[in-house]
Amino acid sequence: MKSSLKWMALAASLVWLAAGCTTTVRYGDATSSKPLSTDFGSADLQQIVAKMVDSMLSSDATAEITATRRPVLIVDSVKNKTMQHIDTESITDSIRTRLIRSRKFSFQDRTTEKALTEELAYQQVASEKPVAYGQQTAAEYMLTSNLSEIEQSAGRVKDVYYKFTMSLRNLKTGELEWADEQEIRKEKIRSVFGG
Amino acid sequence: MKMKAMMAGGMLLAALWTGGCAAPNTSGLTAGMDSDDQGIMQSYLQTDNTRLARFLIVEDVVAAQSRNGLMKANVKLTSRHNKTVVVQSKFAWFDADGMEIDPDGDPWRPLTLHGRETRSIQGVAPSAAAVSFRLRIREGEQTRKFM
Repeated sequence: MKSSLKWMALAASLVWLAAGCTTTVRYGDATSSKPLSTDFGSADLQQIVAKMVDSMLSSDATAEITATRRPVLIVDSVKNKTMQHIDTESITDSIRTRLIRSRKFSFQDRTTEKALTEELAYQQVASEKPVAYGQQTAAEYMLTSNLSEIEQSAGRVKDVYYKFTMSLRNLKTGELEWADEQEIRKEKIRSVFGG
Repeated sequence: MKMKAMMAGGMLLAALWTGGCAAPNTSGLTAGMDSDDQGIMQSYLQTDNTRLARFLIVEDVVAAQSRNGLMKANVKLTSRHNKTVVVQSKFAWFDADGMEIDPDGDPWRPLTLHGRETRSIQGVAPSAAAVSFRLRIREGEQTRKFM
């Protein structure tokens, strides 16, 4: 009886190892909020973008400036003040895309300026009716943002705090029309047996 | 002999379950607000996960129009648990024809509720065409590494 129980326990352990250690590849949910590490990840990016754009669109300041028309907005690159390499252009793109979908603002994009200048220059020499220089609408508002990080460790616990601050500035008056911040805290508790 | 076989089966099942073969239960609760033909709003609540519903109560569902014409939603949740629980939620917005606006445009957002705490989840529709919404709530995810 005792020996058969031992065999059963051994078989169960083998099954446990086989089930848990199998390599699996599959499609995942692109909007998942599962934290895989304390590094800044896709779920953090999506959360920040959703929260900040929601806050901006529902603010009284935005309601006032978009009440009768769609003001021209330019989204400045996110300033990365963390110790990590983060593709901040991706955050900027996501913010701009979500704002464009709301149809409350018109946009100017400085990231494609070089290609645009080349195209306009080409048109002047090659096209029958080239688009004339100096006809672009000027941005009236600028959206600026900062991403910062504070990391703390104590024993087996690692705590990483991210703060994303975004503000909307009136380019004519220089005044800040709106600002908000989003915080994310990620915690890793290392197992007693290893990494 | 029969007892032994049952024990063996139980152990194997338990091993499979803890070893990672058991898919997590990703069902949850859905709260929302619908607009009928006369524009009257009616709240909506669907419970698919009774375990989650035992420790999480949807207290209140409110929808309003922001000043710039976008629908705003507020869902108040209360934890019945004494310990901290992490849930995640995601908004889905629908136009007057019942079509979802920008499906999967909203990410799953984690929310930490401390013991018996009440917190609100707020969302703003991605476009002025939204007339109704659903908030899907499910248990939060975490990564565990055994080795």
